[in-house]
Amino acid sequence: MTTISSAAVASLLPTGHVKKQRRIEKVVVGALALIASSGVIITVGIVFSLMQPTYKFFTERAISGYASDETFVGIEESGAGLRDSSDISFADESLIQYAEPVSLGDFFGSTAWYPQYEDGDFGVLPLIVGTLLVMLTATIVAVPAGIGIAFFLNQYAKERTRRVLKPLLEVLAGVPTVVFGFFALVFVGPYIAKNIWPFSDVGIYSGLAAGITVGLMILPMMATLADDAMAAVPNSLVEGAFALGATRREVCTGVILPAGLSGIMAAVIIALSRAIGETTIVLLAAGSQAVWTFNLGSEMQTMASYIGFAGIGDQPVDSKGYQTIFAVGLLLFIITFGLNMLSRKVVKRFREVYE
Amino acid sequence: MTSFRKQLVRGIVATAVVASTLAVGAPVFAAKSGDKCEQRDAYKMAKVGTSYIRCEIVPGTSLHSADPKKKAAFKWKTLTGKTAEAQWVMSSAKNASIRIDGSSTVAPLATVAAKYFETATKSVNGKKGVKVAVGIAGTGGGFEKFCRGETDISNASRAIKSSEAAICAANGISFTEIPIANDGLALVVNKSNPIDCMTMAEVTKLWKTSTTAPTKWSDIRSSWPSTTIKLFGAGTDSGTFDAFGDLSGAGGKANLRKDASTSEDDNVTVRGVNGDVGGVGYFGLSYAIENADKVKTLKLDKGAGCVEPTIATVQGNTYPMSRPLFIYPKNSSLINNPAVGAFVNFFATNVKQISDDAIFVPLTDTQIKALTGALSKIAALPKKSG
Repeated sequence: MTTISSAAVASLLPTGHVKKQRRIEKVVVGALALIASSGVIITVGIVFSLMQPTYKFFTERAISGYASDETFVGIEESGAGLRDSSDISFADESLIQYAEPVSLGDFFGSTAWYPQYEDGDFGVLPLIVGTLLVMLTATIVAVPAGIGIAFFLNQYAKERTRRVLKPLLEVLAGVPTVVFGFFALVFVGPYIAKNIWPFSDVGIYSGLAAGITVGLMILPMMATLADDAMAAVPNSLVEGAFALGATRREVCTGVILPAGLSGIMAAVIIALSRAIGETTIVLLAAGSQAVWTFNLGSEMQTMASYIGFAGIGDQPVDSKGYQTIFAVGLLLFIITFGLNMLSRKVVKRFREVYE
Repeated sequence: MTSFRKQLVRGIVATAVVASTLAVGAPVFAAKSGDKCEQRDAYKMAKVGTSYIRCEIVPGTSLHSADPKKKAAFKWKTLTGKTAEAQWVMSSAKNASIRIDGSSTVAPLATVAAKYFETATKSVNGKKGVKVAVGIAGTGGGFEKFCRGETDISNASRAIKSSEAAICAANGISFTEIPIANDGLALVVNKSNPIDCMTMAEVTKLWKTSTTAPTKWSDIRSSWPSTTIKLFGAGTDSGTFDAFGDLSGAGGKANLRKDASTSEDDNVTVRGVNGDVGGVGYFGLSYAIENADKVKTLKLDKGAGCVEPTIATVQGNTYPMSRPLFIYPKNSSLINNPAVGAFVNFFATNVKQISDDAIFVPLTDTQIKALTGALSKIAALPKKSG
């Protein structure tokens, strides 16, 4: 080993070209980091935008409407006096009606939800119960059927059947929810929900019809995710079971189900998060009245469908009706967030590690 | 590559040639008074020599006639006198759009007027006609937009409240009130419901908030069926909701029962009452007539026997739930956008036929006087300078 020539040392120092590449590298890393953190930024943004009106909802009084001054002119009077804006003097402030801030006790303790009326009631329980009932119905429809489909695709279906069936399922997953909504309104409601509910009359709008249809909507996602979870079960386990003489059914229930449980649970919870936030179907099929009831045959409103219902009307900014949308939105966000946290816990708990 | 570009150029040239031939070769307007025209051409105008002709419905026929002999027919008709010139001037509005919002009750009427007006302006100016957009935010919602300056005309199924007018005034928006038609509020039930007529006292009992509010039809009158009542109400932002609060005898909208499904869209009520055996709802008479195959309209009795809502009973005020409808054009729009003034004049001067076509109850004589007064007030507005 002799001394290294100065020329060789120079060649190891960063040249202009390499420096430029390093800069590019830095920019790329920065951009990717920004994109990666966008999820967090957006979440923070959502919470922030929901916070302010919600805070006002609980702490400040807001305009709820106008006193019924001159609400009505009869036919005979309507031609009597000709009026224009110059004839109408400034109305005094006293005509504006205010709604007092809603206390947390009223919000979570009252069972009447009539926020659109002038002397409104702001008990969110009917919405929560409605949401849970619709979600529960959707679960009952989607989870067993979804796992069944996944078993069939994974174990029983021939390769050709599978090649046709799986893309078809994925197409179903791409159907816009508003189409499902109309399906609920014209088919599921009048022909299915009306005939299968033994406890009461089922009207044109019902939580049952909405729940069933939401179940159908999340079914493809549920099935696909469960199928993926089952496909991830190591082949050695399945083949080992067959070698021990297990039937296909025994393999399904005894090996694949427990081994793929964490994935299947994750599928269930992702599907439920979808169901809980589903707006359009429920808006179209479950009606527009938040009824305090546990009867699925009745009309009901979920948190998401209330937001959809109130959001399309003209709620003047900072009116009580406007603030309720945000309060309910924040509650929905918290519940969905909690559900996702729960799903992480569940997946961890049931995870079986094989390698 | 080059050949593709050549083909493209050739294609464009060919299209242009064909299109220009079509345009030049289009037949010259050849209709004359008395010739037949199509319903879609209603209110099309043309200048023939020095006189004006317009495609109009033949008097005595109707779009809604059950009698095949009186089925709507359309013919070109020569307009005479001052009307002709005036209608031509109104129809000459072009290159403008008009934003209308408000009552869903008035919307069908305004939509018919808008359609005729669009046809009329297109017939005079080709594709450069006026576009009119009609929304259904409800009377209250409509005034909120109107007083924020977002719309040119607000439809209302009640007179503007002084509180609303005050907000308009605070935003510097002035307007003119124009009575445009009348409407009966129809109370509708499911087709299978045996009830035909209710007294006003029973209507009040049905809709007024109270701890003893009926839940079954038999709670109102014992001979009625014991089906559960399902209430479908108008949206709380609508004039229909306000008017029903007064007309139902509940004593204002604050006293109406809250346990009703509400929607600004009357079609939601139609669907609900149609699908629910115990359903009951209310909306403008024209919706009830339009949906006569889906819901049953009740007769009402205010002490002088059961009265069916018809044009005569609404105009004569013998039907208990009748109300006037209004449009409120914004004065600054009238001044700055000539198309708005043209539309309002067109609407007002042809209002009788438009009411007929949209199944609304025409104005009474007193109301027509008010309307004429409003039009002269509009005409007296300052013109846009320059």
